Amino acid sequence: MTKKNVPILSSKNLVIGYKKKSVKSVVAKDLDLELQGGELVCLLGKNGIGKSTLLRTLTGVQPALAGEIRLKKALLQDITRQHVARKIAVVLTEKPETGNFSVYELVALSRHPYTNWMGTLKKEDKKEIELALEQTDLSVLRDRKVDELSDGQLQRVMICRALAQNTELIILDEPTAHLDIQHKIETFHLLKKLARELDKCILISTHEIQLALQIADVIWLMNEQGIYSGPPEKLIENDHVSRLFDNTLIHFDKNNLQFHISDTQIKTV
Amino acid sequence: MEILKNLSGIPSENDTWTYIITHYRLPKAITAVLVGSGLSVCGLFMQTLFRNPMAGPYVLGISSGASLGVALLIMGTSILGGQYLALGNNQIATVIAGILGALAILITVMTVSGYIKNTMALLIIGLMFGSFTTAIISILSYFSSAQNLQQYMFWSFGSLGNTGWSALPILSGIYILCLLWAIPNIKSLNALLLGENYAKSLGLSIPSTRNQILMITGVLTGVITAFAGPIAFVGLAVPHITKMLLQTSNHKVLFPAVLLMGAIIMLICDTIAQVPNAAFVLPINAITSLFGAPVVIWLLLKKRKLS
Repeated sequence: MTKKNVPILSSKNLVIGYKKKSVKSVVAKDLDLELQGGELVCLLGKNGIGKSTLLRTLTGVQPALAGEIRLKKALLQDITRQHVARKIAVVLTEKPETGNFSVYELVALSRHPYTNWMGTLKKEDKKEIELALEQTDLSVLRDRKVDELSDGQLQRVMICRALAQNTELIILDEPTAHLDIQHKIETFHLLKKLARELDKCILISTHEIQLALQIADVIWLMNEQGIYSGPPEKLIENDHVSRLFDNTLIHFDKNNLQFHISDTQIKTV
Repeated sequence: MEILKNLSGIPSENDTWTYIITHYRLPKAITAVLVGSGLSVCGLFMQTLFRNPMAGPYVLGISSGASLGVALLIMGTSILGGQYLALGNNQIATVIAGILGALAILITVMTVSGYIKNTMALLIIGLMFGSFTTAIISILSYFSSAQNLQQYMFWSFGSLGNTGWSALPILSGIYILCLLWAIPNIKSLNALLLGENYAKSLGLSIPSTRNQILMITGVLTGVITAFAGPIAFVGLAVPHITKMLLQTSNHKVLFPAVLLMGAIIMLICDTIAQVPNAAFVLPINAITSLFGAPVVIWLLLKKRKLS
């Protein structure tokens, strides 16, 4: 790969997992990762492999067991939470309880790290909010109550909120869960567009392997051995994708990027 | 007309009226405003912090803590063979006992909250403390004399009339301090509506915010309960009534609105409790529940949703 700018986020020898008292349970180790601006990165892996743990560690919500994470050149653990909030925005799986907020008010909460102690929105804050609303095609819904939105619209609003936080990196945890295929594709398309046009790095964890393989710039494949990262074509070629699920029941068809139930297995049923 | 004259300082023909208004009704009205708005704001904060529409000043067991303090004072003396009068000269002692009881529970809850990261678990612990103190109060009641039990019962009915001019500065002073402390937390409360994880991602320090809000509500509820008795319903219902009327979750709007609404509702309840043309005053606690609960149910049926 050609040498690019200093990555927005990078990790070296990162070990993630949980620590209870003095007992460490390692989820994954030796992670050397890099996130560049303008890229849509999709984190793939089966349930329970530690995708959420990784995302939580990268955002600094959960401490790393060892190794280092750098935001640009600074170590993540040295940066205050308030400052991290200006560098990383997140979209989580949990539903916010802001039913009585208007879309605009909800998006405006993203300006929390920038506003004064009273949370007054300045000219610049309003500009960022307007921009984010425009980029996510939400301007028409601005006065709608969050309660009245469909799941697809709500997800769009949450992406808009993250966008208005004006960070170089946006991390989304399974942003397309609960959505129908149309909204899944729309969401992927929107994220790709945002990464491209705004030169942001967007990292998402997802189970939509097919969509991810088609649209992502970089894939992070997570399995028991660690993470393989690279462009989708390369990972397919190297059979990394086919080894994502270590189960003889599953067979990966390289030509149409699909997982099947293995033929041999069907016969034995 | 006569009331306005008295308030503006013009001497009235009726000295008794002047005395009643300036020494009894006026401090009572001020107490109603402070108690109503204070409890309502506490309720609003608790509901946001715990993301639970059922939360109120009661949930952390703070009201129960104040009750326990007062119960220990009134009925404890009875077990030691004494006779105690909650009202009159001993009021300051009652108030101090109430504040101490509230603070004791508050400090316990906050210590526990240091070990428990989960806010929901904290809510349950608060409720458990509530039941615990209620149980102790029951035991105390069982052993105490009839007169002292009656004294305690009167206090627990709630009363806005026990706060004379001498006590008002303490109540209003603490009230103002708590509200001033609350204002910088309004921004954080809005962020908390997104959920704790989102709030964290916005750079909010959850433990610090949580402790500040617990401190504010704890002290304010404790002091109010100590002065006016455990007043039910207001803290739970006023935030809901305000949210439904204004159709917003924004604390920048809700905070002043809930203050105002709490004051108004408490004054109305107080007026009803006074029973025009009757020689007696109903217990305020009965009024707040009697007139308040149906209002909440009616609003719920109309809206079908609690947020």
